[in-house]
Amino acid sequence: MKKLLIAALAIFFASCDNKTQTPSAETAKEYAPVVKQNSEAEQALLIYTGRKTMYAQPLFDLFTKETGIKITVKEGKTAQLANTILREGDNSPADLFFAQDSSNLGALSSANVLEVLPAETVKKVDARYTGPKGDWVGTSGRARVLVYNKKMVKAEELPKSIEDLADPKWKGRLGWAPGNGSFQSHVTAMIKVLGKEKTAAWIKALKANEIQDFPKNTPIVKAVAEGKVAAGLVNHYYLYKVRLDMKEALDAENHFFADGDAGMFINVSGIALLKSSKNKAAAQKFIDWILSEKAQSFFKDSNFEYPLAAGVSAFSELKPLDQIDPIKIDLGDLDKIEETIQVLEENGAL
Amino acid sequence: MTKALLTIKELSCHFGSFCAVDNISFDLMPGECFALLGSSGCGKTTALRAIAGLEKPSQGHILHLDQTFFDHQTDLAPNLRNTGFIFQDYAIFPHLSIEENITFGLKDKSQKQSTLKRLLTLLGLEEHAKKMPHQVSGGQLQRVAIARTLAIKPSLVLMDEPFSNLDAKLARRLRNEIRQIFKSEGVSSILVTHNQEEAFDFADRMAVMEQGKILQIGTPEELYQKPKSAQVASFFGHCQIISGHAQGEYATTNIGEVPLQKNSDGPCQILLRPENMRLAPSSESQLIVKDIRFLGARKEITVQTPDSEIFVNVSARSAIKISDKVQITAIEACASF
Amino acid sequence: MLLPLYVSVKDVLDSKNELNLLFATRDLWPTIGRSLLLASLTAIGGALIAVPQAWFLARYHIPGKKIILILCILPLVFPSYISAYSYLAAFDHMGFYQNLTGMAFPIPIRNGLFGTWMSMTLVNSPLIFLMTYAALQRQSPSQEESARLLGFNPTQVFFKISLPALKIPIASGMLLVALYTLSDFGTPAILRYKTMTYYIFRHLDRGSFDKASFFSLLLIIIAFIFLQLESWINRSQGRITDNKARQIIKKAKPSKLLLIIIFYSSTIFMACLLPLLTILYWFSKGRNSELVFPKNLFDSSFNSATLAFLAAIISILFAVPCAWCALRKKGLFATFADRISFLGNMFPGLVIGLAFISFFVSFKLFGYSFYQTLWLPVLGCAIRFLPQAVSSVKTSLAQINPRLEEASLMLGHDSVSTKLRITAPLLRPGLLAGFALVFISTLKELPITLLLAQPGKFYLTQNIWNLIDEAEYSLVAAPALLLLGISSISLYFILNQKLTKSND
Repeated sequence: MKKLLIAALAIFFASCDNKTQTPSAETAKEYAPVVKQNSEAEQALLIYTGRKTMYAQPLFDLFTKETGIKITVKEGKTAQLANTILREGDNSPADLFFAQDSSNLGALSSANVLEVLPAETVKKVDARYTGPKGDWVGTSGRARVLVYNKKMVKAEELPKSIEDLADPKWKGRLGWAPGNGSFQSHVTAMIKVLGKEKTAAWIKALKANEIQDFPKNTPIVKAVAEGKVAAGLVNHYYLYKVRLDMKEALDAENHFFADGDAGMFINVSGIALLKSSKNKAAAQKFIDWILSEKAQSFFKDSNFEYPLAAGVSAFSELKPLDQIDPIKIDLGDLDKIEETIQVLEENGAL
Repeated sequence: MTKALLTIKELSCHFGSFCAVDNISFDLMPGECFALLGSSGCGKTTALRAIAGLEKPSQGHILHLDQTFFDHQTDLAPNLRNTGFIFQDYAIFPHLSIEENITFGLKDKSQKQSTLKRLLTLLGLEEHAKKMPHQVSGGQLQRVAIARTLAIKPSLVLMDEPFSNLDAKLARRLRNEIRQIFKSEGVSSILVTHNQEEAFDFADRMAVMEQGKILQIGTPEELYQKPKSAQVASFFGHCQIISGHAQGEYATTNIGEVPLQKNSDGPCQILLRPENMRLAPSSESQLIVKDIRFLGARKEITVQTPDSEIFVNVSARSAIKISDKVQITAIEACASF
Repeated sequence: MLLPLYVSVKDVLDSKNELNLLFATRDLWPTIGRSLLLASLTAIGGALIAVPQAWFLARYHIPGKKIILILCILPLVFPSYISAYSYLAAFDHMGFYQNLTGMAFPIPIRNGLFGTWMSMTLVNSPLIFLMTYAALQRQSPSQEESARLLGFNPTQVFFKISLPALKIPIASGMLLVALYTLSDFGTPAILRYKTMTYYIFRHLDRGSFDKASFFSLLLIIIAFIFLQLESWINRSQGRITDNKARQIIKKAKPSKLLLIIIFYSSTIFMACLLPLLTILYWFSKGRNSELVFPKNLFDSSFNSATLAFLAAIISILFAVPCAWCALRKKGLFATFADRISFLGNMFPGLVIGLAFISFFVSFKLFGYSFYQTLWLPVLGCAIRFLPQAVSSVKTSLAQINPRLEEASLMLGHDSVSTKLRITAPLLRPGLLAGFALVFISTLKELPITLLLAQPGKFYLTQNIWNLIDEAEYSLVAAPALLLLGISSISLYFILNQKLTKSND
């Protein structure tokens, strides 16, 4: 606006040119409706979402349909949004932060910008998937798995540990997506469990095994299904999504690493209520709603993710959540991704 | 004596520290055609633009009848001066038709059609009225510019080298036409030009400018025949200046004695015009014919003097040949400085 | 206007400690090196494609000249990230090429200089083409003819006379390409070449705004140097402008013509057809029509068009006084106006976006916060693309003879009426061209829309970017085609204007 004023002055000084000033007033008029829209939107919930709206929008629409509360979303990368919230501080217009993965919720929690949620809300979710202070809850979970081609990998060949992939027998048969956020979170978790050196050695070994780079999870699953690579490291649900999209049976199958192994990692999406929110009642309503049976079923049915609350069971083909014993780490504490990137870069993965 | 239409008094224009117009003064009578003659960069265009109000003078007065165009407290906007201006490149509006160009300055809608018709006829543009500027020739554009200016019925028309983009023949024809139109419409005009023939042809009175200053003002005849300085003389015709020694009515030079326009004594510069002299064969003379050029109505003869060459006009039937020894006589009193 | 610079510096100063760490990063200098290497190689590659393209088109009879001309310029409407994505989708393993031939493309397209370089070169070469072609049209052939008469053969003439005469337009085109390459972030991000913008993007993704700011500042400094070079080149330009230069167009021998046509087909194939074919190929592979044509496609197109429209209007509003002062006024203010409009070139979209977030988060005017309103992306884009608007208004204004305005004054119209009746109509082509240029650029602009988008508003670019990011190749197709369609129509308007003007 400052610039506009300067510009207006510039126009004024530059020439007594009435022509240029009139349209400026016209544009101001054009802006009026936008401003109005904004004040109307005060009633609506503003959600900063790290989850892609193309997948999450139906969920938001459902909420609006049921409660009449409108939702406005700002979509971005989870880490970026988390830092935006930190930067905005008390001025943040956001009510809720819906994180694609929990990694950055810890940083917000320690910066004290998250509201502690009512105990009965937090209780709905297994304590492993909530913030230690009770200021965020997981909404859905995804397991890191090895997707493999049934024709190319025999059942007895399937590794118990993710570290087994370093074995030269996997040479030229694997795929991964080193730039992918879920993968990087997993590596961060591995560094916590195995230590930096061991993780680095593992990455080096995979590179030596000529592991193929993919941009994302979906192409890995497709490549595995088409037999272009034998197996790849992905989130569990991509297999089912690709199958639904291709509308045909696939030769691909998910394999879970053994309980307690560094490969058996479950990451969650989580939601938190911001202290700066001016619409806390509605926001709280949304959190409770997203933990309800209906919303949890949505995660299961349309995304094939693990529901975390309301007793909704997992997608039938999946190993049930209560039979899995993933590595135990604070899920909110995975934001030290700098180190992960450095390890990946130093070993030629990025 | 009638009152001057336009009075310019001690007008100066500066661009930064450069003085383009330096303290010039002149009057313009109603109905008079005036010319400002000067080489390029002499400040004549700046002076014209200052009169129009397109350039802001640094000092002086410009009075138009009882109206002040410019003085130390007034600077009338150009659109309020009711003055016509013809630009060197005509400045015809490319996005308007000939017709729209001509009526552009007309405020009074009711007179639009009649004025348009009159001007189209006056300047012979009837068949081009609906055309766009890029569809007509340069000469026609010039006529459009004149018509457009006359439409606002100005008391004064300022013209900046209006004929320089036309070929010589067309320029002469248009010049005469325009002069006649101005005379019949009673419009005063100032023509800025670097071409003395054009100035002579057009002007009732004219001024010669050099380096921002007016050197001399007068009728074309005065300026041609009685230039006040060699600088002024050099603008017109074939100007040859020789040095001599004045003794009253005559001066002695190395072509012999020459009559002077005004008495003086001592060393002086004398202006010789080729048509002012006559040649006669003379075996005693030291002057020799070096070259002869045939120019149709006359011959121009180059005579070698001890220290220079002099051109003399003679009749086409003259029998003088190259290498003849000749004598030069001035047949009229010459200007001296 | 200076806000981006101020915020970057402030951010950088605010986080000194981290910066010491960053300076110690072993990758800092190699990163700068990679950026510069990419920029210079792209400039060279662009010239190698564009100069022959312009030369043959200007000097030979070639069938389908007008179409070739348009196709040579067309890559301008391809946002760099769409091109990058299409080359990725074509040449990466599992791509179009592999699916078609069964073989992997011999050179890896990702994780290296080659892919990024190829993509950037093909997208940016039209900038050099335009400058060279325009210069060729102004060049009078008499110099070449006299060189021939002095006993040089055509090849010698080309290298001794024609090419040196084109030195300046080619050089300034190359600098512009280098500048664009330097500040582009989509291509390195998609094809993973670790340039400075790649790191800005990565730090941004991770929310490390201060580190992103640090790289932004570096980028501003380098861009500044480039711009100085550019204005220095332009100043040294002794241009012989002969607008009505008579053109001699030669007939090429059939063998040569064949070579020329092969050259055009291959460059145009790589730069235009291949991206289009790839997009169409993936389009045809999309199965789930609900996802291929997402519901918000119309909404986001509308939002994009609105944003582009407003940004174009505002930048034109800024551009008119800037151009006016720069051309018609003298003194400090004019120089200032001339320079300030150029600053937008110096700030890549990422930098402007970042600066706006930092500044407007807490900035309030009369209690009204502009944060997360439409104002931000509109203003951001308007500033970013102001130079384009100014230069086209300036070109147009420079062609208006000031005598015309004076003539109108002398005919009794005051300054306002003169501006309305004379200046405005004559300026219109320039205003329209400037408007269309900013419109296209804003439509394509990624980082500003990405960073400054209002909550709840989606733009085509955002959709496309998200889908590319998700590697949903088949879903990118529809919005990408839509974006290309809208831009092409706008480009057509500009070209149409230019072509009809040159026909007059």
